Amino acid sequence: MPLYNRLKEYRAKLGVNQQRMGKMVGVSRQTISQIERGDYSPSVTLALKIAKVFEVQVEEIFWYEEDEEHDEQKRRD
Amino acid sequence: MMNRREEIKKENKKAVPLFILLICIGGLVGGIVGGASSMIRLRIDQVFGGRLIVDTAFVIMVAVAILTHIAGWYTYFKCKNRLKGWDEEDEEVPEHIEVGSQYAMWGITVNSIVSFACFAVVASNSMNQIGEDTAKLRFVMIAVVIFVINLFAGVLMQQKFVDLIKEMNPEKRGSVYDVKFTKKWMESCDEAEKMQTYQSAWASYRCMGSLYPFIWLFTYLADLLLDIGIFASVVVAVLWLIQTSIYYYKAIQLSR
Repeated sequence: MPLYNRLKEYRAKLGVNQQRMGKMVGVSRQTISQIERGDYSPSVTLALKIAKVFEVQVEEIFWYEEDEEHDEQKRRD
Repeated sequence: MMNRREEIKKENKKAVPLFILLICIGGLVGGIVGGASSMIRLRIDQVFGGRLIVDTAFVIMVAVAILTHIAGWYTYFKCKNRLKGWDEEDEEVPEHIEVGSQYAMWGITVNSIVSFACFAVVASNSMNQIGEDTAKLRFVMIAVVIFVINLFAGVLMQQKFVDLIKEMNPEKRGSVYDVKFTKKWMESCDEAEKMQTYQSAWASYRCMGSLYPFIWLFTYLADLLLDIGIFASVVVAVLWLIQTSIYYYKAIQLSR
């Protein structure tokens, strides 16, 4: 998954749990958990909503990095 | 452009030998079984109409129902107790409840399908003999009562799990008793949950797309070997047609 994030870190700074965080951006607790684990890449809208809650640029929370496995896959394809 | 065309041709060429091999194997197997069928043609009643099959179907229906309800209610009360003690901080608790509920829902659905299949075997093989035998009538009536109770209890359990999920996720909407339940539930799901549903549906579509030819072949051969009639293979073809048509119709709609 080449999309990384610091959501957990930012959420801890704000002192809110996943359930509360989900309510703040209009998604479920499960979705927040999946984003933090890197199992789900949020839509642009959701990423912007999350960034708005923390009053930061979206790139401060989410960033894209090509990983080796991804590169290897592309080469094979 | 030429490179891309060559690439496409190369990819097709690579896949063709296996495709031809599979077609040949399919033809060979079909030919052998088709030819052999005339020699080993059996009456379907000899296979499915026996008392043993009816009794076995009844036992399977009851056993699966009992197991499902014991495991389901146990999981429900376990999840409910964990939810009671949840402080909204511990992330393990909701995950445990969500996974438990999903397994329970799966079990309830499997139980309903098994129940439908077994009930059909029990009822269809006993109905024509009811007039001759009162014990048969009693047997069918017991099967009907178990079948109906099992289905209603399944729906009740499903609703209990849905209530549990709704308690944990206040944004969720819908009641199992409502005919528009799946629509309302889906509307209350967020983007990640919808994606999960789409991925699961895609996995199911792909699996069924591969299975339909085999199921059709199976029912067709069953007609040849067991004389069940062509109705089953026609039904499989119709289901296959419906699934494929809905997929393409929706894909065309979405691509506009």
